[in-house]
Amino acid sequence: MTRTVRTVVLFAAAAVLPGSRLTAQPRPRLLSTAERDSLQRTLQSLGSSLGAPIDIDSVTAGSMTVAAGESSPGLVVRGGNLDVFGTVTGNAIAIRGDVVLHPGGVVRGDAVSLGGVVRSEGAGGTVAGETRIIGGVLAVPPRAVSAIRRTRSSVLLVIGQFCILATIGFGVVLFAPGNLKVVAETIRDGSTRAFLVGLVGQLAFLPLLILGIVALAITLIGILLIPFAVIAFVMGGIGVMVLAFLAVAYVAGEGWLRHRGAQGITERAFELRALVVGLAAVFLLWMVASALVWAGWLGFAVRGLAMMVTWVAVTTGAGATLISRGGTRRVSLLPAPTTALPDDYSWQTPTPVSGVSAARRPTPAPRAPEL
Amino acid sequence: MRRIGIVAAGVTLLLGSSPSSLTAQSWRTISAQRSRRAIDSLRVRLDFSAGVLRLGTAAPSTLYDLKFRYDAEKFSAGAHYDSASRTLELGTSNPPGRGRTRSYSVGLGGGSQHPNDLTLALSRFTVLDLSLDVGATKSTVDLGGLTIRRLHFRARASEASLSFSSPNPTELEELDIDAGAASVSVSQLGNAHARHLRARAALGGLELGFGGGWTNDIDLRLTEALGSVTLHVPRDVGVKVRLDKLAASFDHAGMVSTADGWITPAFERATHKLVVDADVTISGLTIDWIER
Repeated sequence: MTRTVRTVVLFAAAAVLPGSRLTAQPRPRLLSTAERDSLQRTLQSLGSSLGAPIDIDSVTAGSMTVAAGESSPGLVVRGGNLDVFGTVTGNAIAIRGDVVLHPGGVVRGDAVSLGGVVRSEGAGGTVAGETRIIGGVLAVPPRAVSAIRRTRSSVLLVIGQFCILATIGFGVVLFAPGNLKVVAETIRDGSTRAFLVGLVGQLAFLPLLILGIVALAITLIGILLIPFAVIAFVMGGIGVMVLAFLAVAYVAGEGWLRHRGAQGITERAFELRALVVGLAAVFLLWMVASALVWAGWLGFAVRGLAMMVTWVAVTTGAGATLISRGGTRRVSLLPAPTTALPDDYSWQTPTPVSGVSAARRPTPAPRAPEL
Repeated sequence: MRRIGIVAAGVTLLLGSSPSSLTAQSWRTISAQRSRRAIDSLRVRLDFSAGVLRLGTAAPSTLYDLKFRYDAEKFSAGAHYDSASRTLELGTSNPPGRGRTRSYSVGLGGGSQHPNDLTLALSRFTVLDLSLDVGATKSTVDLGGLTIRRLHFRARASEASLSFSSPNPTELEELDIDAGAASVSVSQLGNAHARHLRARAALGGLELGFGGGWTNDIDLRLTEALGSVTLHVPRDVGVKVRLDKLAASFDHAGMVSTADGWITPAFERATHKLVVDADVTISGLTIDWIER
């Protein structure tokens, strides 16, 4: 009984007397894997908000107390309070808990609380460094929300690009339909050659630009023209690309409409419809890619496919644009029809050497003599 | 037909849903204070990309006291004090792939109703070297009572108001204001205790108020392009303007022309003088005479 009473008294004393319950030894519980992962995400999200870096290996789970008269280096606790009665020579950090400064408690570094507060009990202690409290959202919300937003903005971007190109296309059909048609015919006549010319054009773009700048610089007075020349050259390149893209879309749309047998509409309406249909066909792939922006590798693959298709289309169209000089010159890439001629006539003058049979000039019939 | 309707409804929902419903803002707050103790000088480097900024004086025992609230989903923010160089660096930036600053343009034609918010208070007993770089912000900076040795203020697309509401206890050795494409108003410059002031405005509007208690003459070096600058000058201050202008206007009411530029009639007799060297291109420079 005496032993029991003594034990109870000792426990009571340990519970009541501050000096006796203040032990500098943290509870020996390490963070679980899940806790470590969660904390890692939180610390990454916080980034430079923390002010003081936190070594995740130094974090202890649960509350901790620094006893009066004792000294401890930097301390980090998670999911509990850090009570300071003694001295912390480094930073005192509580994650999802409070840093509590008791009378006589000293923190020589910073006192930081994430998701809690830094507070003083009674007369409180002192903090030599910074007192920092980080509240609100510690870890950035899950990605689901941002995936929806990314998909939405991506889809809107594609729709916007479609609208811009369709508007430009309408302008081209209304004001320069001949150019568009000539480029389209050039593509139809020889898409492979057009592609190769377009490829060469792309490769030569930058060297030509540099060459032009050098040429202007050599003339000294031309130096002033360099900015304008560069802008004009780049704008020209963009113009070629746009016309090329529209022409390819037009060819695709026209083919589809003819296959379906569109009839009973004017030529202009047919052209506009062909352009829109062709653009929609090309943009369909981009739309699918943008709708799959959240889908990781699948989205990446579809986007890559869309880029490849677009590049081939633009390169082909650009080649046709260059060959036809912006659609101003009709150049048939089809082989010219050959007709077998006898050797005798290979070098014949326009007038056959055998002569032309003379024809009698019609003359009025002789009048009968008047009587 | 029914399937098309469902798809259309889905697309409409995806595209038509308001941004606010999709962007649950993730507010984070930072509160940080540091005791002044024996620290006699402090450099402050502030780079605040978007939101509302307030700057003023702290409690006597405090070196700095900052309260920061920002959307952690869209911005990265931090505050770091380096005790070796006695430098406080703080501000926001856009982390890659997390939104854009323009979402938070404030006071410039109606932006977000919930901008980032930073309140910074600094010790009035510590010599300060301030470098403030603000983006799409609405800034209210009251420098009255602070001991400022250097001040560089750069605004990009802001609506900013700076005031020296009470005299600067020390000489302001460098005062550099770059208004960029912003609307910047600086008042009570007489209290700044600055001998030299450099100001630039491009596309924006800059108002420099020279009220306050003058203790010395001021040289103003002004560069202006495609903007407008108004100088609010007390009537008893002598003003001389040397102007280099190209397709620009200068409202010189109350001044007379000299070989050197424009001058107020009582310039030589004035207790305090303001000498303006202005390089103005496709802009307007106006001097507005004010009573003390």
